Amino acid sequence: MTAEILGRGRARVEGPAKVTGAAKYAADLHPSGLAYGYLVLATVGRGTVTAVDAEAALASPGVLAVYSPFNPLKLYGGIVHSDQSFLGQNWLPLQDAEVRHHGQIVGLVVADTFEQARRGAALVRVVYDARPPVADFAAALPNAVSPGPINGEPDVLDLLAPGVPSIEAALAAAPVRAGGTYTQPPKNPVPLEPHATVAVWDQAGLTLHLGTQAAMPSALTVAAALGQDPARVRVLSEHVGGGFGGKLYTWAHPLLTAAAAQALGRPVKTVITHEQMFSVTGNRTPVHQTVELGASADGALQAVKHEAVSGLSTSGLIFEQAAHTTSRYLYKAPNIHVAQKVAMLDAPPSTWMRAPGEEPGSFALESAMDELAAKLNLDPVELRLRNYSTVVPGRGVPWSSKHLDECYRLGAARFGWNRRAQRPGSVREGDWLIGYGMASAAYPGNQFPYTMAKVRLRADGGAEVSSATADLGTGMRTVLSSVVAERLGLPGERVAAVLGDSVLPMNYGAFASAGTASTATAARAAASAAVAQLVQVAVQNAASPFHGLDPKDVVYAEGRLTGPGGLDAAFGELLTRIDVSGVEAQDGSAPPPDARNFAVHSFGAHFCEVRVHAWTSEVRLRRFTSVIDAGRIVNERTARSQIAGGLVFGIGQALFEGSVMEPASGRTANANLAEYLIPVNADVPVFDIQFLSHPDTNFNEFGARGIGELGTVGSAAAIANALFNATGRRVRDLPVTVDKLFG
Amino acid sequence: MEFLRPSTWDEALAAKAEYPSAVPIAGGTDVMVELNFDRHRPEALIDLNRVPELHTWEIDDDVVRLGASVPYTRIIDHLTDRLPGLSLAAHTVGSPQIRNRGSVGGNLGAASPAGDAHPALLASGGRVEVASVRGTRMIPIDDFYLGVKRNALEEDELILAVHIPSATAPQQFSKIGTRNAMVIAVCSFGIGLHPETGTVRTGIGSAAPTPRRATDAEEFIAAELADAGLWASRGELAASTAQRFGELVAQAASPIDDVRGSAAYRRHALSVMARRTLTWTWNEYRTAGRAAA
Ligand SMILES: Cc1cc2nc3c(=O)[nH]c(=O)nc-3n(C[C@H](O)[C@H](O)[C@H](O)COP(=O)(O)OP(=O)(O)OC[C@H]3O[C@@H](n4cnc5c(N)ncnc54)[C@H](O)[C@@H]3O)c2cc1C
Repeated sequence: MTAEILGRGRARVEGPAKVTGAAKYAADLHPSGLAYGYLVLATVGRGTVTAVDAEAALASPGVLAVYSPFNPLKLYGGIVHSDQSFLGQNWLPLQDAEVRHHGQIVGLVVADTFEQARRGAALVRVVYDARPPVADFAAALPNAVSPGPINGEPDVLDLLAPGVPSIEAALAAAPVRAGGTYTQPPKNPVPLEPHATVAVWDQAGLTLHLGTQAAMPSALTVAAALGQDPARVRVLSEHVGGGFGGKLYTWAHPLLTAAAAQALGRPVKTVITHEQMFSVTGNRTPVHQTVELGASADGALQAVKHEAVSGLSTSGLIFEQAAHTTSRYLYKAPNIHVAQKVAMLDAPPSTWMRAPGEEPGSFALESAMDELAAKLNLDPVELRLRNYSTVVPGRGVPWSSKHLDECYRLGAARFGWNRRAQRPGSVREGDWLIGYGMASAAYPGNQFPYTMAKVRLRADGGAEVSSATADLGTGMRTVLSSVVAERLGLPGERVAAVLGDSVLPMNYGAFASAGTASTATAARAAASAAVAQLVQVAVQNAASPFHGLDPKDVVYAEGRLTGPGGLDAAFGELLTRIDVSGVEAQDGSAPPPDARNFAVHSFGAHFCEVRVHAWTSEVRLRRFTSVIDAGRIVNERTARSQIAGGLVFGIGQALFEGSVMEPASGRTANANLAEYLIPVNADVPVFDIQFLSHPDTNFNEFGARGIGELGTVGSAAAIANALFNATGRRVRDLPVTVDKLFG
Repeated sequence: MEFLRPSTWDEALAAKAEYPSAVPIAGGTDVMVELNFDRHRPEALIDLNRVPELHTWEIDDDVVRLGASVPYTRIIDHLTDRLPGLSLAAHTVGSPQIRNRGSVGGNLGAASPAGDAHPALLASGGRVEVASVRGTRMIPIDDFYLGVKRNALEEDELILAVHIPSATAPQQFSKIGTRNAMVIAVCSFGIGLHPETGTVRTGIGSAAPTPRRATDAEEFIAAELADAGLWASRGELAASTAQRFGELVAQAASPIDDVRGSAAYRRHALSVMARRTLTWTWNEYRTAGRAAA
């Protein structure tokens, strides 16, 4: 009956609530007595706040308080460099008068209504001693510095064949060379749900409603910053309207909101605007990369050199690790050199935005591979197959499961790749030039340690699975319900999934594409533990028909217990009969496999067809085929949405997205959704998404790896390669706008 | 901030006379964005949504009198036959939500060089009917745009309607954006054939401080068509003529480099759009002639 609940396309369980508006997001909550916070942001890019004149704001109707560096809310700095911290930046707001970047929080106005708070914020006069910011990434490149080790390896890593003195020597010896310099601007995650937070204090402590990917780490961070016992801080995040890394870390506004609510003795809500989101809640740093490939005439790579410089905000903490996450392992080559530097910028703090590192790195590497294929006059798929890696270069360990070759072959067949013209600019339909492009995708298979889940079997015959993870549109609720339903042999509707609450069983949260591998395996283990617990209760409870039996003789299947002599009871009936409301058990995910034995990645191959207008260079994507090797697919319907969303991200990277930072001021000039362009429906083509089905049981019992970020990896390169195939023009600076294709 | 809600046109004019710096609101799709971004903090807003005349249109024999607040959606649904160029332009504005609210009066009020109605209005020709407590006047569309986001309205005046001649021959509108929908034009171009006067009118968008006509191109094509007697013969247009027309349109622009595109691209794209839309409209004119014959 239920064997097929996994894999099949189950609609997301909270779908009806979302489309009817019943789903409540943090900003939808209005506890009684609510006051409203509005942030005051710095209008200079670097400097010191010398004075804050709050008089007019305080006299404005409804304004309750104006917090600033000169009237701060106390936050404890110990959290800044703590291991426990999920603080998104390396300083705490209002604790000093320093301005580190344009749009930094320099004040919080709290008032009776949102409009009054906003009005008050507009009346606050902030005086600065301004200094010129370092905000020009291109100009900062020569001053780039070492970031220290990356993924436990040196930031400059040479994997050279014996006797080869340097990567330059290996390149010089290669008969065919290709590559170039690839650049891309900073980007912002821009989820549609605004970052919102509502802080409510009572005797038990703080309840913080916060759209977050990581409820439990947020609670710990907030507790530490506020000087509270962690047991007194609860973070609730029932629904998250998109995150993409922007809601991974704890930013400054929930800390100030919670502290203000405590100081004022009233609940406070702060919803940050789209414009504020660009400077308060984390971005993807700009990246400048050079890739040089050297190959023999038959296309065997001899040398791969990939050097990346990423911006790094002086506010921390994250930078794109482009070379180490891609060229480090994607192809078999006797000589590999990857290097990473960071250029310090007085920019807003950054975050791990969807496929951090792999997103820029795959664009550079997979563009360069396409350039090499063109030079060799070799089919790009064939070039990749000739350089297929079966063990991790320099370490010799195999992958837990890798079927990227099948992705290439199946993708090429589905797409009709054999119709591709090798000569660029040679296919035309009317006024449109047609191009085909492809690229590879790989993203690490992550699994968090110590992920816990709880399963409860209830007297009403239903079950509940819970863990402190988040569902930011990923389908995690549905996956958890399905996984537990399968283990328990129940219809999916009978298993509720509860998440988005920091007091639930331990979970780091939803990021790094680790959700299914971590939480689903924990949930499955918890379901087994709950069944064992049920059997124990059944044999021990005096009122139970199974009383006194050996647990080994009691069998659970499809929601029923059976025993010798025709004993048979559905678990709900049994629990009702013995007057017990439910039995429950917790268990955790198995530890991830030993990295000494296996490398773990999810893989994919993207194929894309573009049309470029012969006269105006306007770009239209016509279709995409992506074949995905991500182990066992738990729910194909939500999985497809994850890949499609990743591809849309790649379209944004290739054609539209980029924050424009003014060099002189450090201000983001296009901090709104009219000018920061993301793809609209009319830009998104038909997606043909196909999953391979090779459960990765070396990775976990369940066989599932991650898919949340994979679609983003390589998709921009597939587009850029198709644009080259259509026009003969290679654009290495993203986004590819009409004038770059034309000029 | 005062929020005035006149329910008649006379009340609206009186309000504008009393508060000359007040900002009128039609669909609000420009005004509300400006307020949200805190670019303006006007002393008063005049909500025009209750003034009935602004939402209606009338069709005379050869002129459509389009109320200033009539939203783009209604233009597309009801006026495509008579105002094909404007209707094509309306199709490209924003999204369905924006087209349900946004209006030609608002586009004229904002007078952005990138507004999509402007090239179509310049190409069809027309007059803007504006009024104040002092009286009413008609401003030819060619005299309406004065500078970047500046128009010919006096501070006490409001736009009542736009008088647009019904098309007697094909019109076209072409726009290039930075993505496929919901975008401000990188550049745009409108064209209208006017056989009764033997003229071709043009409008260039987003490639100069104001929307403007390409007069040299218009004169060139008018002469070419007249010299060869093509209006009557409905003969074929030489490719070189269309090419030259495109070049002259590009020369009429004075574009700048900005985040949406480079000046060089804009000139190039304008020449392409002008050449192509001329060819399309002319071929349509020829076909229509054959059908009628
Ligand atoms: C998401 C989005 C997308 C958009 N996309 C496009 C696009 O693709 N193309 C495009 O051209 N525009 C676009 N716009 C801008 C806007 O929708 C148009 O300019 C629209 O025509 C404005 O009409 P409205 O009725 O909403 O004007 P409003 O916002 O009400 O007014 C605009 C201006 O005109 C003045 N005004 C209004 N009515 C009168 C009157 N009767 N007399 C005098 N002054 C008046 C107002 O005071 C204001 O200065 C977009 C806007 C948004 C928010």
